[in-house]
Amino acid sequence: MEKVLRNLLIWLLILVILVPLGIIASGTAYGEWSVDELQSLIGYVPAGFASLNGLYHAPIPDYGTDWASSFIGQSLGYYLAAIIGVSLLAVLFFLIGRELTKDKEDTGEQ
Amino acid sequence: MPDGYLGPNTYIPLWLIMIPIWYYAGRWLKTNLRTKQVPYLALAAAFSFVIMMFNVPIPGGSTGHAVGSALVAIILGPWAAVVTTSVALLIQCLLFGDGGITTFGANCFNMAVVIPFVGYYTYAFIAGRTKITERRRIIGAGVGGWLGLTVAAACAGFEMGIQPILNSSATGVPLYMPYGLNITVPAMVFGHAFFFSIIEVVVTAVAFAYIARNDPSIIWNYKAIESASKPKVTAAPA
Repeated sequence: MEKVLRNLLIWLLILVILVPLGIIASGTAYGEWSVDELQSLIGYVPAGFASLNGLYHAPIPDYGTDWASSFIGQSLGYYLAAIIGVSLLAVLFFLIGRELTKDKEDTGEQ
Repeated sequence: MPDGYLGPNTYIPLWLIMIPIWYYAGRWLKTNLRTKQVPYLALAAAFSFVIMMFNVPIPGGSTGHAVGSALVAIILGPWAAVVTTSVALLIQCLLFGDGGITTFGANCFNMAVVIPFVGYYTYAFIAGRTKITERRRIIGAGVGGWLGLTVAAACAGFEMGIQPILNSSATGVPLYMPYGLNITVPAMVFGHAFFFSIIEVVVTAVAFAYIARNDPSIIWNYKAIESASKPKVTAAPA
């Protein structure tokens, strides 16, 4: 494998290993409050918001962190989410890229 | 942005704007993607997903994250970044419930269009006709990442902040995002310009510098950069 590709893959792997750092921050992102958080922020739940929020239920909500309360448990869930997301996208785009370039010559040039 | 923060008169137009953008981006990728870039395209999509998982805390208790799409735009082209970032956001939305269905168009517009294009053109403007390995180009990549993320945050703040004006009940009670522009835009810009963008800047500049100095042929417009940076050939004086 090319050296640059190999090194970039190592960097990606390091990012995946470090991913539990992303759950240390416990606050909610701006404009991403839940129904309860909005209720306590402004004292009511806007009617339109109430009708749309929670419209869709994802199979792995909160990136797999809601099944455990301990940091280690949440980290395991977060690792699982990272591995699923990263491998799904990598495989998908490898296949898409191969399909898009199948009739092209491998010149390494534009 | 999750479902519920934007009303239909905001999220429907943003969905509609995205449809021709996705279509053109797909066509662009089919025309311009080179065989050698295929593993890097896969890497870029995976990277987009994982970098967004690094939530950074800011004073005031809120959190946010970098996006990484300026880097993808500089290396593989802004249209390629539209595709990889949109699909990464789709996985976030469908599998992990991060980002709404109704707001998916808005989220793609902010993170998969604004960041790549603002990021790439800022970088290209600063880099000018410098050589691929030039330090000015690395600074351009960093500034591109910063401005892309900050402008995208301002766009998201704007989309949320116009909700009380566009969507309130007869008695003036907001139906969706309750805060106005005077609160949402500064709040979004503050967190992104001074905190989350630190990751965006470092990742964009460092990864660009590494690729530019070790295998610039991966970069989508490498040949154009190379030929523009060569001194002009002028006719020898008679």
